[in-house]
Amino acid sequence: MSQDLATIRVTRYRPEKDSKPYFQEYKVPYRQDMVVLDALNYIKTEIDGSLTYRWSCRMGVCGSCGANIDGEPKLTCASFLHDSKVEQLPSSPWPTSP
Amino acid sequence: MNGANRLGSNSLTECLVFGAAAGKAAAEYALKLNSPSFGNPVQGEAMMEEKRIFDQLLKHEQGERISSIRTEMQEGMDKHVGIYRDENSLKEGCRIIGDLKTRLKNGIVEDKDHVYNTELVAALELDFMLDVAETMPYSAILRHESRGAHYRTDYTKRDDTNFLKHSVAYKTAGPPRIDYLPVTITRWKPEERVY
Repeated sequence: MSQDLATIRVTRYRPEKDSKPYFQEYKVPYRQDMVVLDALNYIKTEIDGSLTYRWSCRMGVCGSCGANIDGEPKLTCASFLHDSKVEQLPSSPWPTSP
Repeated sequence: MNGANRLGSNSLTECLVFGAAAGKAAAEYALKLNSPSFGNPVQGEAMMEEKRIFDQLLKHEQGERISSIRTEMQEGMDKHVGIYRDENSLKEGCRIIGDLKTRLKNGIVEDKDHVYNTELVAALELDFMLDVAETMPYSAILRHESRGAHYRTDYTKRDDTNFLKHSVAYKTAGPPRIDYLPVTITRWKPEERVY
């Protein structure tokens, strides 16, 4: 059985290289029970070590992994991929955050 | 500090106790040195460390990504140095961590940015994590007993005669040196866990 892939569209901005933020797409192996943070960790571990995002507790307690997901401020560790049709994640959390 | 009972969430008290001890020792060390100026030993060390990170680690282009080394450390520790251990698994744990430390010398960080570089932080953390990980199989293999979260399937009984003592690991150029400190017993006497 071939593995389903999910396409994750992420906001990137690297001020030493980029004049403005842009979107980058990654394909990750999809599991029904995966949360957005699992997908980001997969990308950082397996595909692109330069993808940068905040996270800490992985269990909905600390609030560190707040991000815009489909335009809504949410926790990446507590948002299932299967609830999203399109993921749009800023690599720095919310518009007010550095 | 937690004795053999170093299970989940005890890290909080550990941070407070060892954080205070480390901070106090660092301050005492710093006060013994000359006032900050060029040639100060701490400043020299700091500059060498900056050089190591920015001129060497970040400049590596060819090598192994650190994420595979970290994953193998996690899986190796879980499999061989987990709650149930024996002589053979702990030997394997020592070997795996030693190999990973060698591989990390050839590790690369893909993210070359100087701003908010979490991959670089992960690489520096992994270096320390391997030091800490290595102390576990090396101390556990000498502890021929079972106690708290340390369960040896080849030595299933607790042995207060020989092992009612703290294991202490010292960093050396090679594998850690394991020594012991006496346990200070105050209000609660050691008892066998029977529940």
